[in-house]
Amino acid sequence: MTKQFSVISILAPVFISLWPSYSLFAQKRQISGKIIALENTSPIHGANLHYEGHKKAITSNFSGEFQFSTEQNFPIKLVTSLVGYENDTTYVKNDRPVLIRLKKDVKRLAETQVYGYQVAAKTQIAQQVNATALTENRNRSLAEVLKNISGVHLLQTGSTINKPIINGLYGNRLAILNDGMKLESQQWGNDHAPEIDVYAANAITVVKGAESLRYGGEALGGAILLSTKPWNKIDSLRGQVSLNGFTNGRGMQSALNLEGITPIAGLKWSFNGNYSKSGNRKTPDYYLNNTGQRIYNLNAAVNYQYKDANFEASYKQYHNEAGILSSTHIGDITSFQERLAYGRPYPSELFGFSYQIDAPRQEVKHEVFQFAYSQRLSDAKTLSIKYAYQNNHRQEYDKRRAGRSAIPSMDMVLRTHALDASYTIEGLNQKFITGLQGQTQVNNNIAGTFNTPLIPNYNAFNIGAYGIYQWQKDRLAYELGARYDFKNFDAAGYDFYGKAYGGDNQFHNLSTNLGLSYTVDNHMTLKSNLGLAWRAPSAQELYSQNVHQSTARYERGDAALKAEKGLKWITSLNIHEQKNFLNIDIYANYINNYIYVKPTEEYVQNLSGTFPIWQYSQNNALLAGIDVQGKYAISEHLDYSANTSFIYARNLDDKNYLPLIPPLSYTHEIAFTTKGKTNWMHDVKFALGQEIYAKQFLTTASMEMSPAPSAYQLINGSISLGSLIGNNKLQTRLLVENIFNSTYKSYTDLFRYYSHGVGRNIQLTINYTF
Amino acid sequence: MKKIINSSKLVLIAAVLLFNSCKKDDPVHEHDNEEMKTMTLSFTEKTTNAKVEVIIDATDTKPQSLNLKKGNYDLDIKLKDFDGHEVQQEISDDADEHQFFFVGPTKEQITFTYLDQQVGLKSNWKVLDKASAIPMKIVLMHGLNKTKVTAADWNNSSYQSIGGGTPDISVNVTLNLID
Repeated sequence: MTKQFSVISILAPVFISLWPSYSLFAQKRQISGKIIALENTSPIHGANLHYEGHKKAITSNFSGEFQFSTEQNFPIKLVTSLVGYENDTTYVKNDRPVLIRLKKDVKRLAETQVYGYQVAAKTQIAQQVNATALTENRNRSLAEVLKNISGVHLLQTGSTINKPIINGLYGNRLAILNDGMKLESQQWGNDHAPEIDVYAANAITVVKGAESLRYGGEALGGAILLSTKPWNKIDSLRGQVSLNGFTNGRGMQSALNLEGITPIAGLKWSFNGNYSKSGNRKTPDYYLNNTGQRIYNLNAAVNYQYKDANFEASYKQYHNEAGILSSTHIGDITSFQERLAYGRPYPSELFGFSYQIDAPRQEVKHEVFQFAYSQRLSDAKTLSIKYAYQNNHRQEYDKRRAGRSAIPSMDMVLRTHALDASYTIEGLNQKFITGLQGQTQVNNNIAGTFNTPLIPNYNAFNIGAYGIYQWQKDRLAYELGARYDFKNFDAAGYDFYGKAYGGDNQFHNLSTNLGLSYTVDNHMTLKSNLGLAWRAPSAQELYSQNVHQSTARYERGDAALKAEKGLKWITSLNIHEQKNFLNIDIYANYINNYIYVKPTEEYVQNLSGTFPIWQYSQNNALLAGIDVQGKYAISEHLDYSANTSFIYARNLDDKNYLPLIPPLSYTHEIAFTTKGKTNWMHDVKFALGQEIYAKQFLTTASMEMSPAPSAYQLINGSISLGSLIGNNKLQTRLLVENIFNSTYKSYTDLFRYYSHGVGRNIQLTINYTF
Repeated sequence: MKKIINSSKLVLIAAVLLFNSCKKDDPVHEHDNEEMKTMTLSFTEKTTNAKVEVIIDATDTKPQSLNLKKGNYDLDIKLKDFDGHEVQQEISDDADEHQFFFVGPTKEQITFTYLDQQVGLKSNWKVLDKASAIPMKIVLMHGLNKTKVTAADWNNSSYQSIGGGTPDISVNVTLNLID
């Protein structure tokens, strides 16, 4: 039929059988056209087109082209809109292709600089969480929302604490940018969830290329970008109230979003607050003791636009208190092995349901004050300056004697000041961005814990300068960039025996990025990206020397560790036509001096038992894999979507497999959507999904605390109903996860040694948008 | 344009000031009160008043020997942290969540009685039999569910699975019961 279908049939046999003829709308009127910029006639990608008789917008493709079919008669009113451009209204009078010219909205352009320096690049390999998935999962953690994108998995520390893994890398090998500023607390180890409030995000994007260039060191495996609603979309008082209740953990959540304008022209505001409380989660057979959680978040922002200048100030607060499964707080290696053999909490540790949170528990507070200023200097030049102050406070409480359980055994404050300045020059089909990023960071342990701190006090200073050049010629877009970073890291601490340790370390680094995008035809785009990224070792990797309570191992840092350097090549093929799409990403990431913990033959012996020593070391490693994601409209009402990913990750020097790499997985869903006839039954959606996880067979026994668990599958189902109350929308959704209450253990759950994954959960969500 | 340059200068100056205002605190050596360094086992024979004392240290590289003649002993355990403070009082204060286990000897070899609220800092040992080189593990469990554990479990090798909790102390001793 066309080129893209032959590609599909080769690359995704899964879809073949589901790809019948395509002529459902053949009798209708075909409308096609192209959208270009008025100033320079370059095609505009991603513009939204609304036409009469159709509620959903359609989007222009990479070449600025669009097409749709309709039963409406000529003339058809077509409204085109895109952030940064003035709206256009065109009347289509006949079958001939239309040409729509969009004019840049000079006043509004400043507002589109949501990410400041990181102007979205055409060559960037990135996927956005689709709007429906984001709306349906707002009450979840960041990692759980991102799981909808192929190649993203969960690294869990039990049932409530989790962080995302992208293409096999996690923690401080990923950069998380909330509103353009980097989240800094990821230095604090694996058992620490990112402090991100999904309720406040309007869009979440996963960048899979190694783009240290834009996001600084640490973006070795990719980046996660969260952005709030663009200010130019706020034009009146609007809001949303969400209520959510779920059975597993007997949890309740409530959230309020408000936004509005003020009598002062150009001054707008937004507010978001939410609270959630849950108790002990339950596996199919037993309650997980002490797994309750409390989260409360506040976000507020104001924006003022005056002529070509834009000012924004915001404040975010995230607060999370979570209990840690009590049976994971173990003693020495023999008691660990005993627990491992048992594989679940002992009967004496099962206490049923409770909302109470006892030690061991963690309490995390995260605050950000942010100011952004951007100025359009001329049609082609923009200056943008951002400043953020971030305060992260983490307290961990252990089960201790003589009332000391109420004193944190770890009490750390991480303060970061960051300043970003960027300058953009945009010409005909080309763009140049240059910028400077500076950051100072102080980590202090608050004295009085009666416990040796996990990591030392330190000052870190980082400065980076970069330049990115993009140009486009016909179907090809290129990007070339380079960045220089300097980092100074000055640490000081006392170990258990009162011996001072620490020192001053300097790291210099050069990152580069080469990106390419080729538009094969209206429905197919090929992108390739080669990025050289780096990461300085974290405080924990350099200086840790303590017993890791949940794994019964003594982890020893190495102050001589060098910076990691990664070279990631990723190529992405995207095919789309109307509602159908197929996206394939293939990547290889070679990491020089990859830092990891490795078992030694040594032991630490003390009165509480024997602990094997695991030493931080570095080797060369390779991570390679494939992510596939697609959607196919079987009929007007029935959609099938699926995603799968596979990773091969190997230590090239020691010739073993890297631990904690997600196994092969396949997740798919079939959804039935239909429109009702009344306002109460405006739209209805039924969905049935299956998640399949294979056993991770690419493991090396010596690197694992226990063998990988068996393969498992989970079945999920949901019904959602959209109702109209005047102009407002009420969305009700009933979701059942793990319908068959299956017992399973996930390989990337750090608590799989002690317990199973959570069982059935029934959740009811009500969203009212006004 | 000039205005912009001025305002960006201002931002830079403010930032430099802020950047310099924060430096790390001087680190403090935290005196760890949780970890224990020594455990002293003092046995006193009730009729002869003979004393047997074994001091087990965190730095020991191999198990110590404990030699007990046949007889009726009271055992008193003293614990010290790394600062040399005695901590056994903290344990008896939290008696409901602590218990000692002595895994290795059988009930035929020793009749064991807890003399405190089933904690084991104070206990009575009647040595009934002769045996050499019994590998004995002394464990102090913390946070166990004491409703699931009885005094008869003093030498139960499944102490962990019946009661749960975390070992605060877990050391090996070679027990010799001599004539």
